[in-house]
Amino acid sequence: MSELKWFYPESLDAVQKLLDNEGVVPHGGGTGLLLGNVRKYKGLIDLRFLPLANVRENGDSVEIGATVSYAKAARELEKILPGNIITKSLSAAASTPLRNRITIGGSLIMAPIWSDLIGPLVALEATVSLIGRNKGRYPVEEFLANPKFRAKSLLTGVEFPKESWETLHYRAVRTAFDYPMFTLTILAKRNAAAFDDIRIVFTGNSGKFKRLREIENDMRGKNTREIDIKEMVGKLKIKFPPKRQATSEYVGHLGRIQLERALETISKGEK
Amino acid sequence: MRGEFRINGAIKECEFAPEAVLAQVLRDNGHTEVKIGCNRGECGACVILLDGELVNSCQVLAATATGREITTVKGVGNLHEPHPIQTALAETGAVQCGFCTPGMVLAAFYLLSRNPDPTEKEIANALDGNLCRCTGYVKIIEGIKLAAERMRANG
Amino acid sequence: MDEFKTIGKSVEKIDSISLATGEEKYVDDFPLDNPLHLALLYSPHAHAGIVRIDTTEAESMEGVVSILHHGNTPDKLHTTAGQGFPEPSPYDSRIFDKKMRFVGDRVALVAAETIEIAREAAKKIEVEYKLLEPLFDSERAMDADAPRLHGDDAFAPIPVKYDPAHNLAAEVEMSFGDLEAGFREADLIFDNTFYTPYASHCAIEPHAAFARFDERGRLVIYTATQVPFHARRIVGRTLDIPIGQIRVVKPRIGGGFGGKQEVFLEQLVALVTWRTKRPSKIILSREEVFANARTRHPMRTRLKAGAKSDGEITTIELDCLMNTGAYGSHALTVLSNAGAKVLPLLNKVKNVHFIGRSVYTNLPIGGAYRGYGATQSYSAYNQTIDMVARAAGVDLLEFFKKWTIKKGETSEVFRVLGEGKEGVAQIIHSCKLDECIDRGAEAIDWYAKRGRRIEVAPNIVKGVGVACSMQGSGIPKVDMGAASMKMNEDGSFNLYIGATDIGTGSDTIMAQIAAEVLGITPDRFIVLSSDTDLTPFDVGAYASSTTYISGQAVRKCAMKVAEQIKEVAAEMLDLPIEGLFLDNGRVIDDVSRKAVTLDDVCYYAFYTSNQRQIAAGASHFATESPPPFIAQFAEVNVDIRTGRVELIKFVSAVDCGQPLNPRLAEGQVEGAVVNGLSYALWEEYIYDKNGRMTNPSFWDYKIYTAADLPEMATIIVGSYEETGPFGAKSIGEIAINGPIPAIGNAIFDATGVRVFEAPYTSERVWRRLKEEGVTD
Repeated sequence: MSELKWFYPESLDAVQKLLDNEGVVPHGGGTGLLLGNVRKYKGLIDLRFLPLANVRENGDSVEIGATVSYAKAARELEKILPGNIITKSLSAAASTPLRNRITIGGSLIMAPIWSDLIGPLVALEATVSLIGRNKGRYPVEEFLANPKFRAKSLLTGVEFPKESWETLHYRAVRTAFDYPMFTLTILAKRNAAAFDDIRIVFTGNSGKFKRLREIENDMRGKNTREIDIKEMVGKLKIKFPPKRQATSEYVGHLGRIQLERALETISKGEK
Repeated sequence: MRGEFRINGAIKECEFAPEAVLAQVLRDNGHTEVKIGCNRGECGACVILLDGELVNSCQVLAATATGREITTVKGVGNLHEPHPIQTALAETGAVQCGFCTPGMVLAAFYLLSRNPDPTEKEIANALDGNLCRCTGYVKIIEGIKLAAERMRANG
Repeated sequence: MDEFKTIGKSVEKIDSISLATGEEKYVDDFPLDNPLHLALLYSPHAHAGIVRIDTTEAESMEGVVSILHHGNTPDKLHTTAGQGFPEPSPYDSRIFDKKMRFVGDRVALVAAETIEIAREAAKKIEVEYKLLEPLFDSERAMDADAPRLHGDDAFAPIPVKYDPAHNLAAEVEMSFGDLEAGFREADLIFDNTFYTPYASHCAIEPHAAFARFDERGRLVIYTATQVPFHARRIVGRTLDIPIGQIRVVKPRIGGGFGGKQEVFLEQLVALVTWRTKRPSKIILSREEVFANARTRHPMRTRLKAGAKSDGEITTIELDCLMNTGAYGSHALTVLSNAGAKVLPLLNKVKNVHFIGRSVYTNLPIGGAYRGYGATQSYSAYNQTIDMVARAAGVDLLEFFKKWTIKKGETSEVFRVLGEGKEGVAQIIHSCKLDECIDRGAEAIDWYAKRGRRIEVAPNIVKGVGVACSMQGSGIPKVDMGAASMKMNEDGSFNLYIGATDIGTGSDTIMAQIAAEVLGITPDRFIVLSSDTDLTPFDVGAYASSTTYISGQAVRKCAMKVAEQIKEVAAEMLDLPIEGLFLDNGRVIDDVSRKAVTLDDVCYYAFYTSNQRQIAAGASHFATESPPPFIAQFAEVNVDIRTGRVELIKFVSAVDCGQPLNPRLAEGQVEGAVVNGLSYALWEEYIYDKNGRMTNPSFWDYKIYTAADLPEMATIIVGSYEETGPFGAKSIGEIAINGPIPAIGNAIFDATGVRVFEAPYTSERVWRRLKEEGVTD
C-alpha cells in the first residue's frame, strides 16, 4: 500500500492539475472525509492556502468561498444580510466546535440527507462554481441532482442574490446537537397583505430535498387571509425515509404539521 | 511524515502518519490532556483551539494543522497558574471525573473570549458539543458564569 | 445534631484543579515501553457456533505478535460481574468461547505492534460459523421450543435457582400476606405493563486497561475500573495467576455509573502480557463501548395493584421480566433490587407478591447501572401510584405522605428479600421524605399546574408529575471497605483507602471524614485510593456504598489514630489522656488548656522517646442499609399533534442524611437526573432483524448536552442517619429513579394518556395519543 500523499497548492491552477491525478481529492478541512476511509485515496489536497476562505459581496450577489466554515459563514452573512436564512440555519447546525470545522464546500460535496445547508441554498436559488473537469457555474439544484459534477472537480464557492427575505427555518431534531430528520426553509416577500414571492423547501425527504413549487404557486400573489393552509398542506405529496427513532409515517406526519404551522406563522407575518 | 506544530506557544516537530488525526498525534507527543471519548466529533473531549477556533481535534487531519497555532487546556492555565475558568469550575463542584473538563474549559474559554458576559442560556448553548455524563451540567454552567464575572471584574 | 467543622462544607474536590488543568492521568495517558496493542474480533452473528478458526493469514502479517481465541486460552467458566466472592452472578462466560451468543460476542484478540495492524489482522482471521436460531424476544425465552443459549456446564456459584436449559439466568420470588384476600378487599384493580429499554452508561472515558511486568516480574494492571480488588481476584482465578503476583492500580477514572463494575478487559491484557512478556493495552472505541461492553438490563414490568375506593392499596403483585442478554452479569442482583429497593416504600401494603425472572437472549450483555433495577421497576411503581390516586380522587402528594415508610417503621421486604438470599431486617432511623415532597412541590409550583392542562400555545399542553423513591446505602452484611492512615512530622497524614473514586469525589469525602475526627482541615490528608499493593481492601464503587461503608472505615481508622495521638500528647504533657481532645491541629487538655500541636506530637513520636509510628487501619461492614429518599417533579409541555415532550423544569428534593459535602452531593443528584432525563426521552438501543445494534454512537444514541437542560432545581433536605458516618447516607444512585415515572406522570397530567413504554420519543407519545383518540 503506497503512502497517502498530501498536496498544499497555493493557486486554483495548481489544483486543476492535481485533480487530473487518479485518486487525488480535495480536503477542505471539514469532517466529512473522516466519516469515510481516508486511506482509500492516493492523495489529498489541503485547500487552506487557496483564496476560498472568504464571504464577499459581489455586486448584487453574495459569494461564500468553499473553505468557509459554517460558523464563519453564519457570522459574516449576518453582517451583510441581518436575519438571513443561512445564518439562522447554520447557527443551529451540528455543535459549536463542529461548526468551526464543517465547510460550505465540503458540506455541498457530501450533501448528506441531514444537511442544514441545502434547504436554504435551494430556496435562495444559489449557484455553485466548479473548476476542474466540470468547470462552470451551476444552479445548486442541478448540482445536487447529479453526482457527476463531483468527479475530478473542485467546488470553489457558492453564490446567491443579495436580497432581503422574511425567513423561517425549522429543524426536526431530537436534541440540540443532532442531525435533522428534515429541515423546512421558507423565504417570503410580502406586498401589503399578499405574498409577492414565497419559496418553500424540505430536506431529508426521499429525494434529499424538495422545493414545494405547487404550494408556492398557490400562495404567490394571494392575500394571506384567503389561503387555506390546511387544505394546501393536505394535498402535499412528499415521502420521508425512516429515521433512527422515527418511522417514515411519523416523519411525514411531523413534516406536514410543521409545514402547516410554519405557513400559518409566516402568513401572520410573525418573525 | 514530519511536521511542525505550535502547541501552547512552543514549536514542536512531530512524526505522524499522513492519515493521522490531530488528537492522536497530540496525545502521542505528550499532550495527554487532549482526551478521546468518541473519535467522531460527537463528545467534545478532544477539543482544542486551532488558530483560535474551537474544534474537535479528532476531526482534524494532522497534516492540515502543520504550522498552525494549537492551544490545549494546558495553554489556558496550568496547575501552578490556573486560569479563572479552571479555578471557578473547581470551586463550584463542576469537576467530577474530569474527563470532559479540558474540553469544557476550552469551550468556556472560547465563549468568554467572544462574549465576556454570557447569559446562562448562551453558556449552555456554547457547550452543545461537549458531553458530560457526571455533573448534569448545572455546576459547569454555574462555574463558567462565576469565571466570567471574575474575569470582567479583573478586566 | 453535632456541630461540624468540615462535614457539611462544600470543600473543593482535591483533584479538581489537577483535572481541570489536564495534569491527571487516566489509563490511556501513561507512557508504556513499546506496548502491544490489542484489537478484538467480534461475532457478526447473534447465535452461532465457531466451526473453524484460521489465523494463518492474520498471523503472517508483519507486526502481529499473538492471536488469542477459544483454542488457545484458558477455558475457565467465570462471571465478568465485579462482585464479592462467590459472585451472585452465574458462571457462564469464558475468556473466549466456541459459541457466539450475540452480535459482538468475542471471537478472537490480536496483539500487534500498532493498533492499525491489530485491527487489520483481526479482519483477516477466517472464521466459519454454524448459524443457530437466535432468540431476541425475552418473553419467549423460557418457552420449550426457544433456542437455548447456555449449556449444562454453566452454573450458579451460590445456591439459587438457575436453569440454563430454559434460559433462566435468575429467579427471585417473595411474598407475604394474602394476595387473593387483598384483591377481594379492593374496589379498584390496576393491571398494567411497563417497558424500559437497553441503555449505555456513556462514561465519557471508554473502557481501558493495560498490563506490564514490574521490575520483579509481578504483573501490574492499570484499569478503568470501579472494582480494583475484584478485578485482581477475577484475573487471578480465571488465568490461574496467584493473586499475590498481581497488582491492580486504578488511576483517575472517567466515569463509571456501573459500566466499569465489570471485569472483561483485564483478563485480556493480563494474558497477553503474561505470555508475551511485553506490556499490552486495550482501549475500546465508543462503538465497542455501546455494542460490546455492558448495558442497563431492559425490563418488562407488570404491576397489578388492588386499592380501596379511598386509595388504600391492599395488594401489590409485581412481575419483572428482565432481559440479561447473552450473559448473566448481575442478572440476579439487579432483579432482586427491582423488588427490594422499591416495594418497602409503601410499607403499609399488607399483601405483596414479587416474582422476577432474568432470562438470556441473543442481545448485548446487561450489567450494573446506576439505579440497579430499582430504576426500571420504579417506573411502573410510581406510575401505578399516580393511577391509584387519580382513580380514588385523592391528592397524589398527600397519598405519598400518608402511605410511604416513615422513621421508626420497617417493611417486611427488608427481611425477606436480599440478594440471592434472605434480606436483613431493619428499622428506618432517618426519613424526611415528607419534607422532600413539600419542598419539591413548592419549587415546581405543583398546585398551580397539576391537573390544569394549561395550553401554553395552540396544542401545546402543560403537565406536572411526581415520583418518589428510595435506594440503599451499600449491601448489608456483604460490602466491606477498609482504610489505613499514618502520620507525618508536619501533622499531615497519608490516607490509604480501598474506596474507588471514579469521579464521584470520594477521595475528598474520605479526607473530610478523617479531618472531622482529627480536628484538622481536609487538605492535611494525602489521599491514595485503590491500589491493591498499597491500600487496604474495599469492594469498590457500587451499590451506593462508598460514603456509608468506606466512610465508616475511615472514621474508625481516624478515631484509632486520634487515640494514638492523644496517648503521645498525654506522655508529652504528662496529663491524663481522658481530658485531651483534638482541635484545630492541636491536642488540648480540657482542664488546664495546655496544648501540643500535631507537628510536635509526630516529632516526639518519631524522634524523642518511646519512638513509634502513629498509624492505624480499620475496616467496616454494615448490618443495615439505610435508604436515602427522594421526591422528583417534572414539568413538561406536550405537543398534542406531534407527541413531542418538552422538559420545562425538573426538581429533585432528596434526603441523604447529613450531606458531607453539599456541592458534591448536589452534583451526584444533578448528574443522575440528567442521565435519567435523556433515558426517559431518547436513550434506547435499536437493533436490526439480525440483532445488530444500529445506533452505537453519540450521533444516533442521544444523551443530553448542556443545551438540552430544562430548568433544574436540587434541594438537599438534611436528616441525620445515626448509623452512618457523621449522619450520612448514600446519594450516588437514587436520583436516576425519578425521571421516567415523573415525566410519564406529567405526560398523563397534560394529555390524559399513559405511555407505557420508555423512552418517550415523540413518535411513541404520538402513537399513544392517536390510539386514545386525543390526536389524529
